[in-house]
Amino acid sequence: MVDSSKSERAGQEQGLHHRFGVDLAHDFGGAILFSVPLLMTMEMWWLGFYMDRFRLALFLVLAFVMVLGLSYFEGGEETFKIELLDALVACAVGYTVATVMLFLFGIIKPGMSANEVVGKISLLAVPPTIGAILARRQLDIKETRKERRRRTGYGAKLFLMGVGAIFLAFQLAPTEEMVRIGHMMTGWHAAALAVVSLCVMQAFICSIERGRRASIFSAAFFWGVFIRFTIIGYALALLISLYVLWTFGRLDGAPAAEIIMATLVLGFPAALGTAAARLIL
Amino acid sequence: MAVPQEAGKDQGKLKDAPLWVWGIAVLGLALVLGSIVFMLYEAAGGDSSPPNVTVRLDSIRATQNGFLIEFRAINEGGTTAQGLTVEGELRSGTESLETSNTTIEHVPSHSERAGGLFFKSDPRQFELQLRAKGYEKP
Repeated sequence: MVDSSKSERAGQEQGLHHRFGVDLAHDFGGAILFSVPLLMTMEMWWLGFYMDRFRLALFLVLAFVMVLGLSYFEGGEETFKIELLDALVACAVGYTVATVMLFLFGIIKPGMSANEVVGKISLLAVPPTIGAILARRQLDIKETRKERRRRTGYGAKLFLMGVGAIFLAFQLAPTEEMVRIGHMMTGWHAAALAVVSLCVMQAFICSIERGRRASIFSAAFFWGVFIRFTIIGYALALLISLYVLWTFGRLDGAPAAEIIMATLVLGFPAALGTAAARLIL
Repeated sequence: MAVPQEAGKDQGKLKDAPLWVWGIAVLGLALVLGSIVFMLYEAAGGDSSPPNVTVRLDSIRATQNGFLIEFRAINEGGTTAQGLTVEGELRSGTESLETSNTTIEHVPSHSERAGGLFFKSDPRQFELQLRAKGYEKP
């Protein structure tokens, strides 16, 4: 009797080690998969050393809060302690992946100052950290009712939409093209782009929100989604685009018209990110 | 019977983690906090002086078509110099014999980058002047 309970506990302990080991492997897989495009983008290395240090610190704080949020909404139903643990392990994985890859690519080398090395690593640790935390979800196939409730609340949906926007905006904002495209567009182009962004978002979100509904062509449903998600999501996407562009110093010294254009241009992929977030994330 | 056991197991799974996982988590916390504090420190008390670049000669060697000098551009200022042009001039007294130049993409603050300049004449026989000419603000 005593023996069997002892061996059961030992078995459970082993299972625990195994479970966390598998989790960690998933973390690394997700981290590498998500971060390779940004790790191999030269603007990202440059931003690592020349972007404003205060903005970088603020960005790191916000990214950590986002990772905590993702751990809460995406992870299984766990105690707060484990949510925090998951988030911190993802951070460790993110920093490890960023450091190892930057070393392998020869992007950090001797002769560089601490400021440069820490800047590059900490900026580029953000995408793999997000990848690591997102990889967690693929593992937890069974959702408990409480977890489902957590994930389907309005706040949770908006949060995930915001993460989707940040993720896509983050991929594109470092490039020169956002401002360049803005230069090539006229006011009409910009207005049309905003309308297209809204239409694409509406189509995505209608198909997600439909649930088991047979038809989505009811006016009440259409306008409900439009007001509750599309408009708010687009506003979120534009705000996040503006924030990310500011963080990367893309708006410094730019006139108001250029700022609006660049925000609308980046707002398009960010809007796609918001709408598709709940499909992808 | 099976259900409560399952629930009990689940709770056991979720409430604690092996020590090594906590070790990794502490490392993660240290890295995140460390980099945030470091960036805030750099933002508050850091050096924001303009680029201050010195170009130092590393080596001179003969190549098939002339000579190569290798140099290091060291930026002791607090900001990045982008598109830094480096010029090398061979002089004989007051007469300029040959100039070569190159552009270095970025020299971040308190960091160094290496490069090279080609010359037709042997730089060892003349006076070689190396200097940074200009940069762009990133």
